[in-house]
Amino acid sequence: MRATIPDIPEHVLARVASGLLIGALGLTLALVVAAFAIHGWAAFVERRRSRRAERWTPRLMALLDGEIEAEAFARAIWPHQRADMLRFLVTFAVRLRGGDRHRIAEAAAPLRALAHRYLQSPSPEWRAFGAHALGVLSVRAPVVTLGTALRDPSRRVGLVAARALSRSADVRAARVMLTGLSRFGGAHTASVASLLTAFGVQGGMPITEALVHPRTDARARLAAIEALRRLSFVPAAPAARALLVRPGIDRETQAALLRLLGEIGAAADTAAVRRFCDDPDDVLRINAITALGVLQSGPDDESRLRRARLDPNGWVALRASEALGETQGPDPAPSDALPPSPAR
Amino acid sequence: MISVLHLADWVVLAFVGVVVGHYLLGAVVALVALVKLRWRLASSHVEELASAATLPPITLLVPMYNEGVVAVEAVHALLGVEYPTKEVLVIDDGSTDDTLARLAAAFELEPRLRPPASDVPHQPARAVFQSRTRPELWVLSKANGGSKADAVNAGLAYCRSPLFCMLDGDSLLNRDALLRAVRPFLDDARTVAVGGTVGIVNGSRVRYGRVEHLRMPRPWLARFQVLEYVRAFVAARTAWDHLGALLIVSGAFGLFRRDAVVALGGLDDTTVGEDMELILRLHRTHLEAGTPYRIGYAPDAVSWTECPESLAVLGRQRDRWHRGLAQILWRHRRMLFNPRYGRVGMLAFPAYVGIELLGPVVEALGYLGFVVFLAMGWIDLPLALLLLALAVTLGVAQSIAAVALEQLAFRRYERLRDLWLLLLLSVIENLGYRQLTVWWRLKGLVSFFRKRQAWGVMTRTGFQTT
Repeated sequence: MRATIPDIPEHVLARVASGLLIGALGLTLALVVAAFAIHGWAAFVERRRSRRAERWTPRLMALLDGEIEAEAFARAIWPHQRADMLRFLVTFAVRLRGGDRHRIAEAAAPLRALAHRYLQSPSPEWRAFGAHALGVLSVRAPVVTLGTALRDPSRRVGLVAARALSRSADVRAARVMLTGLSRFGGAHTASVASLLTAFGVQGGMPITEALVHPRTDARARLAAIEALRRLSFVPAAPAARALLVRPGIDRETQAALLRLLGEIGAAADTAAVRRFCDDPDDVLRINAITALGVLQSGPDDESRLRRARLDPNGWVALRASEALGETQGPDPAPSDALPPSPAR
Repeated sequence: MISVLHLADWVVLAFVGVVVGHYLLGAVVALVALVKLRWRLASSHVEELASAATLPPITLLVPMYNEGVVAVEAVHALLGVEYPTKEVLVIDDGSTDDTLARLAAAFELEPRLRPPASDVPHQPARAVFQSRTRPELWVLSKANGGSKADAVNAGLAYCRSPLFCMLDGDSLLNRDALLRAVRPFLDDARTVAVGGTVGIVNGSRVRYGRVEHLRMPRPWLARFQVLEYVRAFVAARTAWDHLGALLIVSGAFGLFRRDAVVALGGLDDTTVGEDMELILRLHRTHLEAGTPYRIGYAPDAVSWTECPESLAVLGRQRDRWHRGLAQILWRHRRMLFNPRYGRVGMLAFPAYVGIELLGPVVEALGYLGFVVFLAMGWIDLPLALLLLALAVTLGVAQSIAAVALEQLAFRRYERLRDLWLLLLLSVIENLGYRQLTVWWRLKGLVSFFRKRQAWGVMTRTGFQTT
């Protein structure tokens, strides 16, 4: 045992400990200096920024009131103030819409070169800020630049670029953004859907095309379906119907398509919906019965709904009863008998 | 005997090396993460998020047990949090004081029918109320379950939104805390849990449920805890999150995906550290099933809480925390150095066992050994003092690094005198307070071996609202 434990002579230990102690004290001192330096620097930057903001805010108000020409607004600042001015304008622009934002974007024209420079930075956070600034402060979205940023190695930069494109509400930007749709599969479906919805009804057709494109992945499809549902884009119904019966489509997408058809479909879509009314998957059955309840086109569907009232799943039975307008009828699904809420 | 002393030399040196390396490396990793965060915050505005994106609904689960003093103000504050689709569900865990009566009077509560939405075991519910004046406020009255976990489980059973936020009865959320905490869920669909920062509100001025002026508390005991919280949240959690191996999301402010937690059967009410236990179970189940997931930390999402100002209450709290830590690490011991659990098993878990759990044991043995060896004349006093000074200096350096990081990333303590005080605390906490925490944590370990389950009483003084 003794042979395996090396002896540390005390003088060596003392020398090592002294060296380490001096190093540690130096490190501590350096950290104290850093803490004060950071505190002082941050306070200085904050003061400078608020001084500049105080000076610029009245000019900005005058700009929004049309008292100052947009071209003259940012031209008067010194080059070293540009970064602050860019941040200042971005902070204001995200709170504004329509003509006001347009006017700020015009005023920010001399600063866009700086945003472009940020977009070339090796740091993904700077690139994200560049894309964000370009999206917020452009009169017309720089579709090509932002389209390139969509394919940035950092997924975050891609998402920021997508948000910037969606802000433009331009159908050309919608097409560019949809080419990168599958890259956002990692983001929350509702979040991507809200970006797509921002294009408005004019984005409906490109979204529908992206939905049925064979290379669009499952999560991107879910986002597209959700966007079409929020837009109530009725012309997408035939494409949704065709996709619903296409082989190889996963169940989550099928459930989402059934929900979509329930909102934008017509009597012509009932045949596609009926195929899922007896599906062994509870979630598909619930969505199919709900959609059929809305779209029902004849006595056949009514009798199918009556049958569904006896479904072993309480939620399916409840939806069928609701569709028949018989929630107060003799055999409604009692809420106590319902299983936990179905997955959506 | 000499061989034993040599072994002790090596053990102490190795332990100091590991601890110092761990903390300094942590500070460097946190620095990288916080610099990134600063830039991230520059390119994303919460106002934009609130107005543009479709945000997933969130239910704030607020368990309360005898919180009459702070209940109304805490609920007012939560109702004032900016988030378009939120619901506040207060769970009155069989309070014996006037918590429910005060809430009923302040918010005009009326009985409602609300069936549970999922099957999570908990003590039976007595009644559900909804506010007439604030329809987004619900109060669930239930039989006391003896633990926060049972109260949260009851709330979880009645929760209908895809996300839920776990809070303490006295939590004060910053206005934009939910908008900031929800962002990782929007950016990455794999996210199952996100923790926020918890700060200490003692001594600060609170108005209309909002921390108006953040100040250092006056009692020294609370001041020491401010430093501890800065160290734990700004440095440690940021670093672990950056490494993808976060083991704790504080029960005082954490956002979770409901389906992920319901699938696990809710929180475990057999441990007193239910928040950490849940996170370890989430890691474990996802890693065992090979399901992609992410547990994140949002340092910019802040919740404020009242910390204990008396030695007795603080001692009980630390005893409970350490007992909980021991229970959880023992329960999930399979993860220790198990490559199947990736960085969590190979990095974070061993660090928690070696440094957090056994740290007080080693430190106490160090103090004891110092005295005994000195009395027996086995050690050279100058050398021993030198080593002690080295250990203390490195500890101080670690605390100051955390303070510097706080100033770099958030600068919540704006006054120069607060900064001075934090730096001073980094030094003087080593003269008594640190030894007290070691003692409380050792008591926690002893309680763990005795299998004690009690929570202890937390005394609330109410917020300083003047």
